[in-house]
Amino acid sequence: MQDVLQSLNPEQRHAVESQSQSLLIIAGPGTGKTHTLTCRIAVQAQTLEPDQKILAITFTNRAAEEMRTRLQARVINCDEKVFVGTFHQWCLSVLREYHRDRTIAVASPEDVLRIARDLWPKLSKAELRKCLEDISHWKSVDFRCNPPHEAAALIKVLREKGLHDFDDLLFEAWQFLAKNSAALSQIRKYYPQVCVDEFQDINPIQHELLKLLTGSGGKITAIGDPDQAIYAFRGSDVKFFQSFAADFSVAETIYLKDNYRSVQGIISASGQMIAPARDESVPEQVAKIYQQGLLTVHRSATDRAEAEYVVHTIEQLVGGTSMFSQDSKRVESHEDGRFSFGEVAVLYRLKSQARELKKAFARSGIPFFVVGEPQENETLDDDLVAQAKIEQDIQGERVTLMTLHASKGLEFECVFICGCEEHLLPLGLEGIRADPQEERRLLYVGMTRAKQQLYLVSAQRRMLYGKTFQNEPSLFLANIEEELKNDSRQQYHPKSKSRSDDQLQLF
Amino acid sequence: MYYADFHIHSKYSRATSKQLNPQSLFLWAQLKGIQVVGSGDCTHPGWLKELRKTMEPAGDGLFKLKDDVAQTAGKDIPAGCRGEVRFILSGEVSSIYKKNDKVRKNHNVVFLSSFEAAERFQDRLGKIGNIVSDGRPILGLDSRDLLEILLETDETGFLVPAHIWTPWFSVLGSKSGFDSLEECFGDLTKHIFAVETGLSSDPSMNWRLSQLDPFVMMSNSDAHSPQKLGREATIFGGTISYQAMYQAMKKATKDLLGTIEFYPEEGKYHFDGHRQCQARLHPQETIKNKGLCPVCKKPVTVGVMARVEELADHPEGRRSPKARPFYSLVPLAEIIAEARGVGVASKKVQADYFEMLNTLGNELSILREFSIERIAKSAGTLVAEGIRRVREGQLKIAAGYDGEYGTIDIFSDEERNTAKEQLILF
Repeated sequence: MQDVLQSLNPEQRHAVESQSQSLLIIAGPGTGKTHTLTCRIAVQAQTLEPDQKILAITFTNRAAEEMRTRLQARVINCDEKVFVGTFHQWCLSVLREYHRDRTIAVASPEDVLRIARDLWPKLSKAELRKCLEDISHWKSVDFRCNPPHEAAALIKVLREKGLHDFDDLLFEAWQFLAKNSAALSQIRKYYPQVCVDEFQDINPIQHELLKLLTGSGGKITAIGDPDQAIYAFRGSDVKFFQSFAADFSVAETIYLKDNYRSVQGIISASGQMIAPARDESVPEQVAKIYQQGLLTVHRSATDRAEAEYVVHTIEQLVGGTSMFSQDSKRVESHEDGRFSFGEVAVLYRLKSQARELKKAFARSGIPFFVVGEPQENETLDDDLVAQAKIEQDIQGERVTLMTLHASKGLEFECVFICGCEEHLLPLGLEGIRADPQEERRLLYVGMTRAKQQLYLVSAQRRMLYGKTFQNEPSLFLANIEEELKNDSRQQYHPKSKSRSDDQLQLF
Repeated sequence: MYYADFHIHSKYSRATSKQLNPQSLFLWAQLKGIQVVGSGDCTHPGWLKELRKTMEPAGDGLFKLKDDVAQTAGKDIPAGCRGEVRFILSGEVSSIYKKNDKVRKNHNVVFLSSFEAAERFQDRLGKIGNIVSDGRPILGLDSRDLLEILLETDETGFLVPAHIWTPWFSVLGSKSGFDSLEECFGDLTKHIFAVETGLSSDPSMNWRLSQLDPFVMMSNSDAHSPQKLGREATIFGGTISYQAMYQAMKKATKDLLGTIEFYPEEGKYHFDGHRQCQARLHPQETIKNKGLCPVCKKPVTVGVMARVEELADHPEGRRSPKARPFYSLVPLAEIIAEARGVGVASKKVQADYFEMLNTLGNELSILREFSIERIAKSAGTLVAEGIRRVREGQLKIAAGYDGEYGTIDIFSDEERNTAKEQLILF
């Protein structure tokens, strides 16, 4: 265990060894969040009595898988000492083992949609979605209130088929534990310590479950980054971060501030950008890698030109993709490509922004992959399968295209964020008006994915949903001091359209 | 004896001539004197479709133009150039990926023995990346894995590392290659039996590396337009078939006769240098300048000669066990242009070129076989003398560097003027 501790910096070590009953670890991007949490679990697992487990809650299956792999390397008989899983997985196990409902099966979102369609054949697609969203919101946020009147019918059909949807798992587990004090005290004894990852993204029912679980005397470790809370639209609430001390007694807060991911310029720029969204000042992050890196701001005339800029720049980053890039002087012969395609990600606010990008990538022949788009010959059973698929695909040597939301938890040497403009960041298209603070955090999540090179790109004119928009650069960028911004105009000179470009458009 | 040019591109590759269709390949193969031409771009679905429409199997793994297509395409071919043309399914793949912490960019030529195998290969690659927007697809696929997929797809398929010394895109290149084929292909290296010399190196340079002893040398044009076909080629004896060529190279049999080569100095990356500054550097000068361009002080592109020197473990003049003879040539149009003192693309050169093909025969036979006297009768003494000098290696070449072709110099102005006077006199 000593070598585990030696791999930690002082704050991390404190976080691992702290005996506080409730501990809040604020871990910004690249600060070794998963490593710290894993080490803490490994160390705390040694203090367990037989027939006790640590409950480690992650946000996604992907994260659970990663944590399990890391723990197995550190903890002997890991599976007997730690339960690693999402809230859904844990609640499912509670219902199966304590509620003695072993036949319980989980309905995929597609199953639920099918059932709803049969129940209410007259509703339009949008109405159906709204109806299901309302039910979901009730189960995860307003669960103490009266249910929407459609809920009962849906639940009835689900139960007749022996099914629970994802929200049901949490809701039922909460109801069960709230009503069965015997089972609850048994569970509390079994799980004397709970660790929650991505605490900024928990929703009210999850919060309620945590409070039930820890009750009096239970230990809780929550780790996360309030600056990266981006799931309010799913009912997550970053306020639980602020109320942690009040909700769980004897709270200690530890900040991890050493950033092992990004170069200083990227850390400073993202820090300046996120500052207005913070309620209180937090310690500044310190870069722990000392490489050269760059933040580049580029403005294109159109979304098409933006896409071309991204593709040309990637060509330069890999040092040319063909003799043609050399012969056309698109890439100077002394430029060394340091990066491979798999180290580059292109992020955007809306899925529809991918359209021009995909066209430009196809023209260039650069291998790319769009996260969240079903591949050929592939049916997505549910989110979890999709998630696993994302992980697989990202590992390939291809440029990854994805939404800012999907980029959470990932890191890349080079990151492009397209559409850094008003109307997109913050999102404010007609009918949709997102919370500006949450949008700011979303951009922060995107920026902090970058290790060495970050490109903030925007277009003056853009087509979205069949309409042309004239967009000013995002006001979020105004918070970044000019000295940090490398102006792309000094380095980027697109060539006039060449014959071979024309040629390729034929296909 | 027959010539094969395995590595070419179709119109579906980036920055290639629109004329690169099956018909013009058929036509130009005959003008050049090539009997076996690579299809090029066999990983491209659109191109393969076109091949299937215009060609049919000729037996034993090769293909020929369908009769009606051949008739139309070949109607203007001079009688002396006419000959059979066979096609072999080949294509180049650009692999860009990170291995051992370095970005690697390798080009490899793959060969397949049937349309069906090529389709299966496309299915596999299509799942990995984009094979439709470029006839030479860029994949983030490790070269070793590419070879594995090929062998899984077609038992008699094979892979040849392309222009192995090119700085930017080759297995041994100075910029993004490896130091050995083993490092690149690992456990599958044993499945490779030939390497392509590329324009900037000739076999004798390659013979200086013991690590290349297991491989035979293959030469191809890597043509991006039909006129460039056959500028380098591989010479075989025996029967014309996929299996015959495959075995001749794999086992280095007597049916592998040798190669037709560029003078390596004429290739685009023979010397070192920096194109933007027009700085052409002999490797010795590069060392003296500590690798920097004398004009802008940025690093120069290290060319093929220097890279061979870096990896060689034998002095010049060593022959490898599998060495075959090679013949260094200069394209006929360039010799005519040099004799006339005009640009190679000029109408004058083009007219003379076709006149020679009409009266004599295909280009390779002119460059290699016809007697100088016979050529002189058709094309004049100066062109004939030019061909003689090329055959004997009596020419000066300002070596190519950093993407600029080398420039050849066969005649002095004085010689050209004297020839002109003689022309007026007689």
